[in-house]
Amino acid sequence: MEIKPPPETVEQFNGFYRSDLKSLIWLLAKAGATRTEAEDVAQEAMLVLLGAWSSVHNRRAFVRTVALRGLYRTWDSRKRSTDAEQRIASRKDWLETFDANEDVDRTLELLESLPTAQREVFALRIDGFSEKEIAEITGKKETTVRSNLRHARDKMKSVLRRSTTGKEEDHGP
Amino acid sequence: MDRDIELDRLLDRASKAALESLDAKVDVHQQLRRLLERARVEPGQTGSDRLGLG
Repeated sequence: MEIKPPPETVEQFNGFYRSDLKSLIWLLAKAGATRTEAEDVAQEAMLVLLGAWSSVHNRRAFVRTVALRGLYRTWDSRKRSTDAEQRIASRKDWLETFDANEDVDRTLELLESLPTAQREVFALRIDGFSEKEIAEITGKKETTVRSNLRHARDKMKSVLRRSTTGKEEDHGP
Repeated sequence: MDRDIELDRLLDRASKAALESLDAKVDVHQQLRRLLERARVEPGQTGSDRLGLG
């Protein structure tokens, strides 16, 4: 792949890349990627962004759309390995990177408890994206995003409660 | 403690810790260099001839 952007684009891109790469990798970790998947997918998404730089308005959103789609394509090629066993393996894969931090491990564990759609929107929410932006990134309706967020939050609170009291809250379907 | 607040604080702490860890574990400079090499653009280059635009 050969891209020939003008120098000012390369300079702007360098700044964006340096400030956003780690946040993008963290998002992919939350979405269930292994470290290798996250780094590879993030790199590919950044490359796509560089090629489309001047035509993209919301670059943080764009690169996340590309990255998440890339991650799911990777999974599809392995028959969508998003089952619980795979996600637990992914979490273990991150332990060294995150120095076995309890809060990080707990967060990834909570996200593992969610269906893919809820995990995706909640991971983006944690990163500060608005419901409208999440809808744009994921290609969902805002009402769907709101519903996913509500169910995800209820589920995570329930798992959190169960882990501390041994009882799960009733949060509906 | 309210479960919402507990969850929000956990997520906030986790994000900060994760990004700090990634600061130490991911060599952004090297990754950027690799990406630009793949795109055939080298960091610091500004001349259009060096970008293959000449």
